[in-house]
Amino acid sequence: MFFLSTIRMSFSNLRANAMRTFLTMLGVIIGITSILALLTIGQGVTDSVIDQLSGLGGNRATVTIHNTTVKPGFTDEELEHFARLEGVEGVAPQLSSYHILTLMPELTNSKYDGVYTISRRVMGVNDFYFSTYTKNAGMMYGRSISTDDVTYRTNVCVLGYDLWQRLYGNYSPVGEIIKINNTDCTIIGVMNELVGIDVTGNSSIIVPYTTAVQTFSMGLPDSFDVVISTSSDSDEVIARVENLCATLLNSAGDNGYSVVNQEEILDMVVTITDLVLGMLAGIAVIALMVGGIGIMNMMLVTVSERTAEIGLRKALGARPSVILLQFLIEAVIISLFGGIIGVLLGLGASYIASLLIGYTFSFNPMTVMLALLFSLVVGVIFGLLPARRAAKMNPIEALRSA
Amino acid sequence: MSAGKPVISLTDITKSYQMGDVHFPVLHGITFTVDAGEFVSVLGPSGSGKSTLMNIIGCLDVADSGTYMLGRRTVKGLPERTMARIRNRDIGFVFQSFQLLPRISAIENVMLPLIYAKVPRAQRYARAMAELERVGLADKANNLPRQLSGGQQQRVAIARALVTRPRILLADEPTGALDRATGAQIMDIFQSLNKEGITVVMITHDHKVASFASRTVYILDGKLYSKEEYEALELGEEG
Repeated sequence: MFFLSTIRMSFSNLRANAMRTFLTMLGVIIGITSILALLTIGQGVTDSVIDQLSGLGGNRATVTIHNTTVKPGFTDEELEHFARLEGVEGVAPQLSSYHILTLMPELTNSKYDGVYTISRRVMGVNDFYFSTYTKNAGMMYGRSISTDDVTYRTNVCVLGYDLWQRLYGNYSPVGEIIKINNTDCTIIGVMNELVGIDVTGNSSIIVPYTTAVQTFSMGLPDSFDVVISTSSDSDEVIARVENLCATLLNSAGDNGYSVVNQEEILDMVVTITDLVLGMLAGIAVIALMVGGIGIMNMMLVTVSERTAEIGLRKALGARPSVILLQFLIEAVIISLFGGIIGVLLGLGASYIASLLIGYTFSFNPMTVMLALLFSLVVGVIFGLLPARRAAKMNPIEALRSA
Repeated sequence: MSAGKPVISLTDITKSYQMGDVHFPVLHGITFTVDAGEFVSVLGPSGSGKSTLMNIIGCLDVADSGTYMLGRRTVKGLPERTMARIRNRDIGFVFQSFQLLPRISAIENVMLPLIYAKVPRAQRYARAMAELERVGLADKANNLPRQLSGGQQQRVAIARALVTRPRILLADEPTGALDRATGAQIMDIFQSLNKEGITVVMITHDHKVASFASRTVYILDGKLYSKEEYEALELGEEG
């Protein structure tokens, strides 16, 4: 009851100085908006990165040779060894380099009438690449690279989505022949658009990696991914992979290879994003503190402006604690309303960011509660000193100033 | 609150102020008593210490030495919250400059002491309205102070002073900001309140205003004097 009338009084006092109140509130609004936007955007991006990494199917490890002069890359037989290890679902080598693609005038569906050349990334992959990495996207036209294509080093290729649009517009290219470095390759399919973190496939032309090695002289793959079956213990499988590496690469020395587990990468991503977010949030907290100082400043001005009022209230029987409460409530109203507006703006900003960056918008209610609690605490902390000054004011001197 | 019993009794009250290194004695041993139901004016020029005396009587300040009894209670070494409670329940203040809060209506100003007395809202309104009726301003209840004349504002202030039903009404130059006719109306209100049994203590520098009271005490340079002594001293100063 008493509390309610105090809150009502505080609102009327704040309304009387609407401009000043708003400007003071702005400090808190900026602080809370940036904290909430940073945390929500950061969380959203991290979540979607993790989703995409783990959405690629099972846990993975990337095996890389460092010393390429001693051992330039992995042979088919060696890759076969890795693929046959217990708990390994398959291996996916990847080669890539830029080559000249040529479209001849006799191609019926292409957008170009004459001879057309373009430099594009040629990726050499195996059938396993399609069955795991681009499984979700699927094929738009035709088929993907098969085991036979890899085994027999056929001259076939699959177009990435963007490249297909560039060369063919909306027509199917399946069955047409394109030259890669003057070698005829039959287009057997078009991939749907890839979304997520690794979208290099969209602008590339994809061939069997054995063809890439043999026909396009792209060298042996010096790195490949091992996909670990979900039913096995990834640590054990990685130990087996490392053993095999040691056996195969004995001549290359102890540090000739590395095996990086996807979980480690995930951990690293999380650690780095947490660090960056922590730093940014730290800056935002400083902004909020500056907002708090703004509140303190305004409340000090208010207290000295309203000296006569404080004196009168004391003469009418307001206890010091009541005066303290009244000014504290004013400070808290500023900071809490600033917090509420900041939360709304912060969520709005992160929603817009999610549309621009392209991840699914979500927010943690806990973060919102925390932001509101934080703004409340700022109001109390920075409102306390001015409120205490008002509460301690000598009523005679306060009345005399009228 | 039977008439005749002392409600305010001051014995040898002294007060001085410290301003940096300088010591200003303001009251030098004031002794006087106000009985329940009296209408007493304290007459003195500015600088005589009458405001300090009022602050001590009103429990806004405490004496350096001497005894102040408010009813049966000795006002000395009381915590601030108890002083606040006395100001809220036992004393009603009327100031020269009215001291109404400008942004709230007349009735809200009158309700203010009841908020501090923790009276429920429904009762606050009814009691504040009753007081406004008593000073003849029920129809102006929702006006802001600036929409009222000086006399009306002072009547609102009187209603506010009375709303907690205090035993004592303490007025500091209540007509100082008003013209003579309006001042006389305020004095009429004081006299009729006094007839209803409220003890009135009024501080003024104006003989004519003081004459509305049933008894006058004279203060000069922090001491009380009889009427004759005071007039002699005052003439001496002017001469």
